[in-house]
Amino acid sequence: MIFNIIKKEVRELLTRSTIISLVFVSFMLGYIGNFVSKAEEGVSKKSANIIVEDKDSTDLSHLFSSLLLKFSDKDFANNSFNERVEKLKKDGGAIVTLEKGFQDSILKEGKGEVKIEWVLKGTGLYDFISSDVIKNGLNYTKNELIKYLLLRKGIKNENILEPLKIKNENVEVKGKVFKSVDPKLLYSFLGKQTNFVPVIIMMLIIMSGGMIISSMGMEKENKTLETLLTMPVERRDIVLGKIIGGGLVGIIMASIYMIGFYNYMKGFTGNISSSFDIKVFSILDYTLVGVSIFLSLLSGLSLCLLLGIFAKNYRSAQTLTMPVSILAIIPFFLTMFKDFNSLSLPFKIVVFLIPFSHPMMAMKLIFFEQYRMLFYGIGYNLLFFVILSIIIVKIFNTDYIITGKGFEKLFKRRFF
Amino acid sequence: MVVVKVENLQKNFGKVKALRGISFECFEGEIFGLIGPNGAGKSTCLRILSTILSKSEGEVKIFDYDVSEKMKIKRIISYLPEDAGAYKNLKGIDYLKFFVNFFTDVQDKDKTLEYGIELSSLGERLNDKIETYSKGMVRRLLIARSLMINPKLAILDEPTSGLDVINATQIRDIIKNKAKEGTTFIVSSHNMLEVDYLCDRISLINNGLIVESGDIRGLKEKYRAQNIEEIFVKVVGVKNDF
Ligand SMILES: Nc1ncnc2c1ncn2[C@@H]1O[C@H](COP(=O)(O)OP(=O)(O)O)[C@@H](O)[C@H]1O
Ligand SMILES: [Mg+2]
Repeated sequence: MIFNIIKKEVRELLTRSTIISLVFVSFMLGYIGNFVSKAEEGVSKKSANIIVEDKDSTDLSHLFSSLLLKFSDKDFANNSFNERVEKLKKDGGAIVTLEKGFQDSILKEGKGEVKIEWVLKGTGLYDFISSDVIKNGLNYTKNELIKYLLLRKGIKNENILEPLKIKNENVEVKGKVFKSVDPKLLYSFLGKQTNFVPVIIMMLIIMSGGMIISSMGMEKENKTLETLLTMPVERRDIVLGKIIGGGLVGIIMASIYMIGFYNYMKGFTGNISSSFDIKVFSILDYTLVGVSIFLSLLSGLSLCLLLGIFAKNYRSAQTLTMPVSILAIIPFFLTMFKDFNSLSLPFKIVVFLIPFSHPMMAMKLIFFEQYRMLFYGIGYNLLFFVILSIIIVKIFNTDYIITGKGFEKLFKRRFF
Repeated sequence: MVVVKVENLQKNFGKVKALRGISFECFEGEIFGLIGPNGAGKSTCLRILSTILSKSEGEVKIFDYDVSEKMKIKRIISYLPEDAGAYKNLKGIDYLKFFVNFFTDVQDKDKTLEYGIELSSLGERLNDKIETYSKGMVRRLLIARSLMINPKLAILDEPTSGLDVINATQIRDIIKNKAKEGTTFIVSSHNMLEVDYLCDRISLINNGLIVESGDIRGLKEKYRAQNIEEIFVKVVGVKNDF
């Protein structure tokens, strides 16, 4: 019987057009991620179009050209001067001019002038790659020139520019110690591991919550709820069927989205974990996160179903999804920028009471072995779901489910 | 045999007295009409009969079950809400399947579904989404849904309202045919002229009270009236509480 309701919910909510639009968004996200990661690879690998006009023609200017031109594109360099200028104007690059007196200025005043004429192909992400390559080249050239000048003064030391040898022995966070890592790296690694879950929760809640509220709105608008209530099925089963059905659809939609988002994230953080490889989370930990997500989803869905009861029709149902979305966004941002522990007490209470916070914090809590807080969250979500379900079934068993005036009137009566 | 027995039924919505104590009976195989203007209390009464609203006072029995025995009643009745729609994103055929599946005690689900398809007379269109149906088609689908399970009692709230003559006639014919097979109907209507054709016996309801009951021919004779509209005006008089 419940299965019949679940099947109907899924059929009704998971229409072809919603899937298509979601797959499209997911695909776009993945595409952007891919694009970004290619762009980043580009900076580290590619050479650029560089022309050096050496009007000084001295030892130092020759040295400068040969160092900088290491970064020039090989094929590009094989062209004649005119061809090179033409190609550069078309594809982007830089013309670097060393005026007469370059060497003299360096030796006398300590500074030689380098004029650069930049040509950008466009303003897109890819179009800035070559300018980054050239900047790298200029930096390299500068460092080599310094070494050369020091050498002329008799200072012969390869490491003169890096006199310090920095060893990251360990990083300690809240009593937990990590060996030989950079704090920034630790942050990126954690971010990658912990930001993924909150985004998914947020999407999951907003999507399945919206689904279940709209479903209630549609049922009321079309009076199908009245028909459903005269079927030989317990009202409790209708409630559970709706929650599970909405949850399933939400999970399916969130998974499609997740694939896209995963590819998107990979584009930004793809090369971090390889240099910092520690196994932090065990299977049990992941299971706990899963339980936390699941219970939070159930809490969210029951909250949405409760709100859906107040919906008069599809339209008013749409406006009711707003508060739930806000509830999902608040802990998302709070937990992204701050640790639960570093929040002030009122914020702590707010975050704890919002049922979506707990899975969002779960990864970090496990990371810092604050299991007690994790279990409190799981317990809270379970309680939240059970209590709300009981309330919903109670309301379903009263006249209100049929006569309910819609939430607008409910508020009017109270406050005006 | 008495199928529905309503005695002194009252229903209050807060201060609004929707039903002020109505009594009537329906017998097996008849089409009983609850006739009255908008706001008279018809829907409220039918919702109580179909167990989705609770009563405030009085007694309601359906086949000897009290309305509080919801599950037992729900197995033998069908209810069609006023102005009902259907799940727009479903195909007509899936809509019928969904409702067949609730009746686990139905012997042959395929046969029931087959019968529903026949009743709807929608043919191939059952494979299209309901959002593409016209109003008349949706209503036929809903009627098919409520009758395919062969309910002992069918409660239809204004089954023909808002339909054109052709569609309305079609629906009335389906109801009449089904009644001949022994299904008892309670039908509400504010269209007093169609009732002549459809119902065997009626109760006229106004302002939460039943003002007159009887078989149509007897009522016409009693009030020397051509149609039910005339009867209603004569019974209620010119003064109206509205
Ligand atoms: N949910 C409700 N809350 C308050 N009053 C209601 C509600 N439903 C119906 N009523 C009132 O009860 C009376 C009867 O309504 P209803 O049964 O819908 O009449 P009908 O179906 O005959 O048009 C009307 O006065 C209506 O305003
Ligand atoms: Mg009505």
